[in-house]
Amino acid sequence: MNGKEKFLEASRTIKEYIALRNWDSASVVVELNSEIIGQEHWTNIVLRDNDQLEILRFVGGGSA
Amino acid sequence: MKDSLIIGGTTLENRLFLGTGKFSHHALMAEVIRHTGVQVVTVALRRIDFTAQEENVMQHVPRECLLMPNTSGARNAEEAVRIARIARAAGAGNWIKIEVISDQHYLLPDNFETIKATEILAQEGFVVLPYMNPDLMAAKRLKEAGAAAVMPLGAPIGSNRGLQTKEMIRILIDTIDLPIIVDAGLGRPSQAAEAMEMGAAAVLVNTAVATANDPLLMAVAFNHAVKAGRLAYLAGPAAAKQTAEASSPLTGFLR
Repeated sequence: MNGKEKFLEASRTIKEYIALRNWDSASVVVELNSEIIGQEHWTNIVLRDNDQLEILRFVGGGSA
Repeated sequence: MKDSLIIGGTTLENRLFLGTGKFSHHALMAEVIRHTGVQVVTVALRRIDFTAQEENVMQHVPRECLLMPNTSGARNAEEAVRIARIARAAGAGNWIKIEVISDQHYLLPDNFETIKATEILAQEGFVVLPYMNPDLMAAKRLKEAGAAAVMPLGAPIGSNRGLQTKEMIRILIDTIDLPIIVDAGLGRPSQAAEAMEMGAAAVLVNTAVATANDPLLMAVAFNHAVKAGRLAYLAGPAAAKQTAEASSPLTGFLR
């Protein structure tokens, strides 16, 4: 997840994984194995071994 | 007098674009936007750090603003395209400021990779505004690739050194039939005014405002400077001369 190895103690969907981290999912975007996953699919995708998950959001920025 | 700037079908009245980084807090950035009437703002996309509970910048950007996410962090066209697609999926609309940078010392853009990314994203329906090193041939290629505007740098990002590339930007303004938006390097309102007087369509500032002693006051100053520069451009500056030319009548002297 975000470039770091993480271990899950139980099977989780993307939705559950983000909710567990107390993060407001409103402006979060998820990429799973280089594919963008719309929020509507977060509840029906269960994370699996060796999945590459990127969880991103906007931050303040101008250039670089 | 109505003097709108149209980019990608969107009509803009304010020619000062603002980057949202480096402000001491998001609320100050929001205040700057409200006070100046800035319409176009840039944001960046980053991995979430779940160990830090940061404020969400999007809660502070006024809803009426047009978002122009950048592709900062991209080192080649492929990475820029990936970031642009993610930004759109995150609900940022279809404007994208392409930045492809692999030089970490001067943060100078890679025009070649930028052209490649522009072509792909323009075909995917993005309104593409590429950050570029002001080179005429590269700007022509960007236009052919479907750029909606080009954004040449005045000086390296965050350097506050002003219009170091002035002559090259002048050539772009003179030659390229697209809005030329000076992005990066402008440190003072006078430099923004200078760019606008030359015929730049808009300027983008971030560091110069966010790191001023009083960011709000500096933003107001930039806003006035951009408007003044634009008016001067429209008015058509008078010619410069080597010698004096009196502005009072040269007859009827009391002697």
